[in-house]
Amino acid sequence: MKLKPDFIVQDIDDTQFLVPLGHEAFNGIVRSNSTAAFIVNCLKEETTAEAITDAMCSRYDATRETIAADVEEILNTLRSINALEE
Amino acid sequence: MIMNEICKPDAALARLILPQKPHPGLFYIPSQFALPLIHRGKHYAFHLLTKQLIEAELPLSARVGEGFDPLIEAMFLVPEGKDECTYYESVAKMMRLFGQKKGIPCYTILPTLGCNARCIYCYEEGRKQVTMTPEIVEQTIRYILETRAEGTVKLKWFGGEPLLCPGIIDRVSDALREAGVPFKSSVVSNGSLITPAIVEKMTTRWNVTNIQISMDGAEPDYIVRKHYYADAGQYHFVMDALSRLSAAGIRVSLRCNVDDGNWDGIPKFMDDLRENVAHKDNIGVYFSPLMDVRTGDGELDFWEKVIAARPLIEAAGFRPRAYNEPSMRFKANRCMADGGSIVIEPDGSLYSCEHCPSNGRFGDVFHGVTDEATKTEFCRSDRTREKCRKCPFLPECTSFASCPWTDAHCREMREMLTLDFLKRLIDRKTNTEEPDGDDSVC
Repeated sequence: MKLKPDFIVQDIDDTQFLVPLGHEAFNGIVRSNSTAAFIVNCLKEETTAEAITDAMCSRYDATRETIAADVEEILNTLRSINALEE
Repeated sequence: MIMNEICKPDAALARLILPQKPHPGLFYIPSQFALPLIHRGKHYAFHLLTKQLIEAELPLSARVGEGFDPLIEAMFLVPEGKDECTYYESVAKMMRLFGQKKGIPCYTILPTLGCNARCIYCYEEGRKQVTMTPEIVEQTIRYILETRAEGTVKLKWFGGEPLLCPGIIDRVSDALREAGVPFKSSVVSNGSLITPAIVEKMTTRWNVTNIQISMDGAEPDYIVRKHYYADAGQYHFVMDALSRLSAAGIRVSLRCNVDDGNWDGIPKFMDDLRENVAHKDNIGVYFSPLMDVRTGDGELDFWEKVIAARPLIEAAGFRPRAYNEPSMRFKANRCMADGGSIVIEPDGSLYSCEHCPSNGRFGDVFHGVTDEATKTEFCRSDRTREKCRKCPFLPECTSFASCPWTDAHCREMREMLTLDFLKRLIDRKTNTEEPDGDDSVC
């Protein structure tokens, strides 16, 4: 999976925004928290939920089960705005 | 409570950008975008990026917990050393990306470079007076239909004098209507060809909502400066046209081009407008100093005269139109060139801006955009001129280095106009002056 090219990632200070370019299904801007920003950065390249979870496990001090649930929740949010190529 | 809010920040920005979190240990100083002013004995500050206006005195420096945290959260105070230009560029880029539509939202069409006047200040002087051929007109229509953005298409008729070619405007308007494309139009004109029949076309066929008409002061100055090929009483004819347009519900922006040569005649000009323009409701008037003034040493003195002349406009029964005053909403695009609009010249060439040099051509109506790099050059938000990086008025200005428009004393000029605007706004908001009908509200 990968972030669709018509979604642009814009960092302003220490906040990350996800901006759709003339998107038909979603008319808004996503402001990411640090976890979501990490996942969105992973999605700039082709990846999998498993690989994102691995990357987060090496960075955050939480159980793999908790991290996997967080990743799935954010991926579902991105799916709901049609931001993912799968 | 150390700050009393007079105007809220821009709603769209406020939803997006979280309050700046005060960090203990950091040293805060006033933002470059925070403009302080004292009015009627009280201290105020206006943030030119967020558009928030507050009653407060900004400290020269502060740390967290010294009572200034609300000013830090509202970005009136920022960490020392913060690159606010880069911050602004990032915000502008994001807002531009967000507002960007697929397709072109606005076309500035020059049906002709010909004109029935020979204004002494015309920047098109010396250019070949080309007019669109029927083939170019038809291809322009096809180009619009193929490239337009969803929703209402905006057409801006410019020239030369576009009303020398009403048949071209008829044809393009009819074609869009036949294709079921919603559109609205604006016109930039000298007004000398606006007969009752043209006003009828504007309202029923061309969907004109706005028009800018230029006049150049009292009648003797007007005759000399417009220098029509055939002097046929245009001064009074245009005043009648202003009234007809206003009565037809078209919003008129009357631009009076001024310099030291015609300034003394302005009171007489305003008297003539008051007496001869019967219907004034939809007419806004402003004075626009000519390029020689704006690039000269006397620019600031002249702007002072322009500010002081505002009561003349009001006394004549017109609404002073905002010009170079700050906007109370964040604008991602400051001009046609950075907003994705297209200029179509009479020969079918495509440009970003009618003022841009001829090397700004990036295609034509037959082949579309053939030079993408030139086209996107004007849309980049990271091309701030070096001398503008620390300017408080950056959010009120074109931010790209390619813009040919420059004032000799732009920062001082904008400060003068902004302070005048804010003082009037504060009076209105705090009820120390009666409303004056100005539409530039928070």
